[in-house]
Amino acid sequence: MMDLVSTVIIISYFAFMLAIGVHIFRRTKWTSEEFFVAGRNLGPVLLFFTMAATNFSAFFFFGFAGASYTIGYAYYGMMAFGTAFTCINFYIIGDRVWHLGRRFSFVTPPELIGKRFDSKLARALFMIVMVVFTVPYIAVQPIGGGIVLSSLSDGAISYELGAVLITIVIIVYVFLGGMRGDAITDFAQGVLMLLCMLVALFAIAFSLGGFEHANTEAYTTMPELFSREGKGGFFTPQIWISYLLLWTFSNPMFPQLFVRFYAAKSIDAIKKTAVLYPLLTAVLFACPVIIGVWGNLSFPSLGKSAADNIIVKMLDKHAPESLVTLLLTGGFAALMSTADSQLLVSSSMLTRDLFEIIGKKLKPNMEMLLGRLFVVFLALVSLAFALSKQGLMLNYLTASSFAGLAVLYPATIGALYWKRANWQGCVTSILCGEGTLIFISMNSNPSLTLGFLPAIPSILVATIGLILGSYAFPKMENKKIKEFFKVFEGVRKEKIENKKENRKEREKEKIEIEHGIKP
Amino acid sequence: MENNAEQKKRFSKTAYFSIFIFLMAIAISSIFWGEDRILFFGFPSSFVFFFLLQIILSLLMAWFAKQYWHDEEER
Repeated sequence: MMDLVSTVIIISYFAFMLAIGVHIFRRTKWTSEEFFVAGRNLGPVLLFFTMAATNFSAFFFFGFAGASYTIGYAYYGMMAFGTAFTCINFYIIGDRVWHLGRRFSFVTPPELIGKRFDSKLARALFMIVMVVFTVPYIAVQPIGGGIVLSSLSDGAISYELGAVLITIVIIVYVFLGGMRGDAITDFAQGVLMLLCMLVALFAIAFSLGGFEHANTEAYTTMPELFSREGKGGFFTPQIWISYLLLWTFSNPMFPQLFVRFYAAKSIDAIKKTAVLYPLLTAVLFACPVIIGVWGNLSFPSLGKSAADNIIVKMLDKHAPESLVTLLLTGGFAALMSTADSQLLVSSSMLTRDLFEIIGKKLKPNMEMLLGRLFVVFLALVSLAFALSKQGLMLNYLTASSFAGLAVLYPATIGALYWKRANWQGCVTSILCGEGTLIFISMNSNPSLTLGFLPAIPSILVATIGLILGSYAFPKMENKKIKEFFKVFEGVRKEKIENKKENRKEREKEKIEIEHGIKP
Repeated sequence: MENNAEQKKRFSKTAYFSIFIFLMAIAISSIFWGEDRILFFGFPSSFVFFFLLQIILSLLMAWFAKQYWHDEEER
């Protein structure tokens, strides 16, 4: 049975999340732009934390420790640097997406693609890929939540009840607070996640006799956990290269991260987030990896599924009892902050893209109501997935979601930078890329990909598809291309004009002061 | 004069991106290096190396944002 302290901590945490949702709901003047992209007004602090908390899911909190338990310290370099390197996408993609979002009032990623290529088909395809690889991923979060709640309560709360509780809390605060509520809860959850991870690491290190002592013992027991290629030679050069590139290409293509570029208040906010992001991954990703490696000291020879629970086991054994629930609340924070953003962005795509593609333009009020209803609907679908434990299908979709979304990268870069790219190129790129991914995944023969992960040849095929498809068909109308790309020129011109005007005003003021016209 | 300034700016953009790509290349090629050694606090050298690489990445991004990204906005 869950003790009183644990019960109070969990109830307080859920109540705090709900209170944020209610508070935002009451004090906000609602428009669909406010609901889906927080009125494009997220400052640097909120943007940074919402980007981080959204990206780091239950997999980060529990999966990293499980993987490093099995593979060793090599896991850190691949995971942390690959994720950190995505910060250059904040410039390559984020900068342009932000300007376009302001100019054309985009709320979803497929809207940008549809406008750039002037094609409903390209927009629909982009939306389908994003939804297919995002919705099943949402289901992973209640599964994680159910497992933690059940384990914390020693089975008093069943896995199913745990999953239902987590889903209800997420539905309520996303339904009420929209993206702003999501961002503020992400801020709280991000801080909590960071603190819990650091406290957990230091508590376990203290119990094991300090960092050096724990590492030396782990090295003496299992030196291969300290090797560059990981235990059992897990990282071949091809697998290493594949993962480093996969994280870089897939992260900005997660729709929940993409829309955060729209939501930024200014380019300055994106810039600061890009600078801080690698610092956060350097520190935060180290914690679960270290705990996972040390797990081999306390719990040797665990199977794969038991290894995923290593962080809970380590806390149970090494942290003071009163702290365990508090630290595991960091796990709730990680999974809830991802699920809420995925729900909101999936709902925005179904509300705006689906209806516009079939030719129905909704009124703003209707759009917002429908957005909220889709949040409830998608959360219930994910919960059904989680409760039915449709293992195979869910495993396939979530395991391939990084690769499936990374395939959209060439089409997105083409849309933002290459004037010759047309809708035929975009469609060819997506179809060929996803087709290659499915084909390779179904034929599990590693020689087919020369030892690389299926994502790498798929991204390559998608790039070739974009180029060949674009050249095989006529160029898009110059007028439409200009309308899109002049946003970037327009931004520069406007700023130059503003600067000139400011300078003139300052000079005029100076002259007036010099001549005594103005005191 | 303006052409020179423009060329200089273009050069810096290329230079920055070359350094970014170089960092990624270092990260990728690290798998081919020899045995790991144990460095401070008992952590293996590759772990420390990747930790530092991310700090360098952050500093480089700060430098890039100050020098170039800002220019792009103000241009």
